[in-house]
Amino acid sequence: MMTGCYTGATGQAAHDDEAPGRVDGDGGGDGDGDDGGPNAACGGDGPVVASRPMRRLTPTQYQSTMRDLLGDAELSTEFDDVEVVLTERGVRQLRTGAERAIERIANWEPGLVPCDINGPEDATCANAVIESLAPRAFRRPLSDEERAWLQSVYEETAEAQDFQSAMEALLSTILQAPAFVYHTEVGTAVEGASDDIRALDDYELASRLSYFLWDSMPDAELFEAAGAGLLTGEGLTAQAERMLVDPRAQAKMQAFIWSWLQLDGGRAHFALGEQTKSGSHFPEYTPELVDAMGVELQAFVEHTLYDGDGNFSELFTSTDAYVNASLGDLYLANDAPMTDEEWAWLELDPTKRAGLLTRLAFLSTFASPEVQSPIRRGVFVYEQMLCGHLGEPPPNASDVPVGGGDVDGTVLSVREEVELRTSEAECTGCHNIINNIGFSFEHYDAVGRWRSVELTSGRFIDASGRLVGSDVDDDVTNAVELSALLADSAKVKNCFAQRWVEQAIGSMPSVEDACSVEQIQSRFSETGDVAELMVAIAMSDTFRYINVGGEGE
Amino acid sequence: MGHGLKHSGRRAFLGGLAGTALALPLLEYTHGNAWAGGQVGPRRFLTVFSHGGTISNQSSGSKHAGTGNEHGLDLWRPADPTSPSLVLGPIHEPLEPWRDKLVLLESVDNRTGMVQGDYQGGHGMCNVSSLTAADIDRSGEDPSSLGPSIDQMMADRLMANTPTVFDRIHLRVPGHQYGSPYFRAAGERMGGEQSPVAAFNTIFDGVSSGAADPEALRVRAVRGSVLNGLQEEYTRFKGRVSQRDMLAIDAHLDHLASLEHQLDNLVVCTPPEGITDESGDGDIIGDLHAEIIVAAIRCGLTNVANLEISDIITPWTASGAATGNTLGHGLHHWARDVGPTGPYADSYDTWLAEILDNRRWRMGLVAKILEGLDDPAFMEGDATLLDNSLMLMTSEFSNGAKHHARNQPVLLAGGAGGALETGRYIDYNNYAADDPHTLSYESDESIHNLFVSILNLFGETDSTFGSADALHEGGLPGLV
Repeated sequence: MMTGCYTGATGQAAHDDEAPGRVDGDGGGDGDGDDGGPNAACGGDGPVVASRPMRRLTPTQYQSTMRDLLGDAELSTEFDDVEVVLTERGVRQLRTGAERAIERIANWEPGLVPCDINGPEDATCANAVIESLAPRAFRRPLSDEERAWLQSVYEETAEAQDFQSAMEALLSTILQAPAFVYHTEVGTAVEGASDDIRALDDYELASRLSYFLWDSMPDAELFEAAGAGLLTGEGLTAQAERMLVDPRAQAKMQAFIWSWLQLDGGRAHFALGEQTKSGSHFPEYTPELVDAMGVELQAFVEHTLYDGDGNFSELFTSTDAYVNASLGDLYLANDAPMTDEEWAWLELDPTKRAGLLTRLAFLSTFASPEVQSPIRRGVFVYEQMLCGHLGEPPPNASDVPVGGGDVDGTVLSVREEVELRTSEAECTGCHNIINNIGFSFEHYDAVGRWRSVELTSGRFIDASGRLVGSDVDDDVTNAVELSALLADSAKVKNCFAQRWVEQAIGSMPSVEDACSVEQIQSRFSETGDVAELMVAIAMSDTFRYINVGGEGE
Repeated sequence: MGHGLKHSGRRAFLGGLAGTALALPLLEYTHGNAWAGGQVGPRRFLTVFSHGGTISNQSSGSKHAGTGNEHGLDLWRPADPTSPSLVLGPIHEPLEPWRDKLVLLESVDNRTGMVQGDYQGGHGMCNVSSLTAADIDRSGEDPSSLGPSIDQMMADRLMANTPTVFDRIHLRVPGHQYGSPYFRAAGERMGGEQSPVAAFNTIFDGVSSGAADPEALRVRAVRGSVLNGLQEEYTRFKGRVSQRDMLAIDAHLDHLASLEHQLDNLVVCTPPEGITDESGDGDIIGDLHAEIIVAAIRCGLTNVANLEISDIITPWTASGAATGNTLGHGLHHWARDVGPTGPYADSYDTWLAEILDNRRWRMGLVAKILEGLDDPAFMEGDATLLDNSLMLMTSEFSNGAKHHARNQPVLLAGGAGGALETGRYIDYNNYAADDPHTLSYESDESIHNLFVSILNLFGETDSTFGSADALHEGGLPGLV
């Protein structure tokens, strides 16, 4: 009768189910157990970093790069291949992307192609493209071999066909070349280090920095800094700080937080914009309301990180909200605008709201069509905020939403039914964690409205819970108190920092990266300054060096 | 222009870009003309993969009686499993017009999933092994297969003998699922095209009923120049990357070669009218995909086609989507709790109506493909395209609520060029011979053996497929 649960967690981040050598986000003095392997020594005989597979442009990076490279802000690409190895469909999409971009050549940055490719033959135009567009596209100077190769593409096509075809072939080739599609990092030798450890050269570092902070190619200033050998020490810091105030960095941060909150969906839930809610219970849940939730959340992130002092903790504690009438109604805000076309900043009730985890976008995403989901909310906090590991649920774990109501003749609240279904011994290993955390959100219904009486069962809501698995475990009476604990948690900061390190290097850090990760986490844990976190990552060994040996992760 | 394709019913001759015929007999048809060539036997292979299992009472080593928490239905099996001829059950009812061209199988396990998966199965494990039967790579964040899926194997074999423009096409009805089961090679997962517009434009790019447009020819020539250049540079690039990264660049080079092959083999065929509107849910997209597959096969653009159906809710079917199921995954999970002693016993009727409608809708897509391939307007001698094809319809689970790798549902359709005796039901449960309705379960057969049988139907002599987890070599007994 009961749903089963696998005993797969110990209440702390479980490392023994990780692949050997992985580092979990638990450095920084939180007292958890070892990480499954020896820590690399910090400050020893030079940089130590893990070997990682070559990366290629992600769909987001591809679109941004094409727009920035060509100066065509309206260019829309359809490259969406995210498989580990590019598929034939992905290769075809790259071709389509190049061809569509060339069709829009009139929208490109003036002078990028200094001729009319539909006009009379002009070989100097081809040379100009090779000397100016190609290095920008490849994010570094051309080699003689590449130059000769591109010239042959142009010349052979011009001979076999015509000037227009030859220019199209040249441009299309540049936009599909390996140096454009893949992030190639060869590096330079490091004195005193093993042969496998190499330092990214200036152009490779510039590229890695721009894709880390902007998800796009370096701009002219960064290219210039790379060319002048200025990307070391203070020079690298200065460039990172400059780039962090660019709108592209804000856009990257917004996208990261959206994904960090799993508002783009997951294996067990739909994205914010794909949710369905019961029409009878929530007639107010319309596409316009969902859009407004997204606007509110992004405004909150921007306001907290960029209008204020950019402190991470405030993402959990701030009661500032940018709302329209519909949002104000759901937030039970008395001074909200009167229409949905008007927007205004106000402060939410601090006894009911605080930070990201009490906002409508998050709460409605982690809910079923009819009721809240303490299980999904609890799992989310433990896994995404604390970098905890619960393992896979057992085969008899059900995904049927627990809705409360009449259960064998007794009316139960959602909380009571969840407790009933997860009370078996095989369940408690995980659900002692999940439920304790998740129940603190019980006041927020399936669309995020705060309630004292449950809509579906009529039962009074009990939102008492406990934060477990952190460095600040404590009892709580609601999600506001939970959020306050998370704001003060070093483990949460460590987890956030680790997620950004993963972004920067393109994979989970390995044991060889432990030194860098610990240094980054330690600094961020002290300050909570998000901008400083980005700079710390950019200055770390794991960011500036590569390991060209082995087959590691 | 609205949904749906209109095909002229006319298939003109095939020819190469420079007027040189492909290595196929020269074919020229008008409506109703007979086959003029000499090739017999199975020509093409299709898969329809339906994520999320079927309506099954399969458990670990037995079947649920339907007296406890779980339901006791096995709706994959025929309505009368003892009948000498195939009597279709409610899920397969949409296929009734082609009943005599079907073979329904039960008790074919996924032994790789059972042996290497979590608790003898599991979402990711079954997804990566249900079409590959290959060893599972668990070193990454998500499991991966260490071998190709059966469709890729068939594509490679068929291309070697009867090359077509596309070695395979793969279309997907988007929605929730735990990963594509299609693999080109070890570690190379393939996702299907979910946009009918994009799929149509790609597959029918350059296809015309007469002389090619001069601008289209110019564009193709430019593409050829680009491909030549890219192949040169990617080959050089491969020499500069690590051993580990060579896999990615090798794959990229293979794909460039495929694009070049598609350029070099221009098909002349009256294409169907194009698709410009694909707005809608799975009911629109699924139908369009099925039509594209049929049209592509009729024009000889491919001999391997795949339709992947994600585990989606179907609010457009008769019973609609019940509240509480945000994901299709949730729908089949109710199976565990709707039995007479289950916590949701009072939802049994509603749940059954909904999931039956859902699974019947998916079968309706199979029916659409069968209808198109069995159309007498497109004959190959005295056989239809379907008669000379073999379709495999399957899922990663039987009972999706339990995630078990046992008893993977298998439906075969088409005569495989006369090699397959159809209109049959075979249950490989060792206990079924004594009692067709037994709840006891044990099977010696696996998808490894199924895939060997499929290869054998196409004249291949393989005796093994995939991992070493099968209980015996060779094909399924009694199938071929």
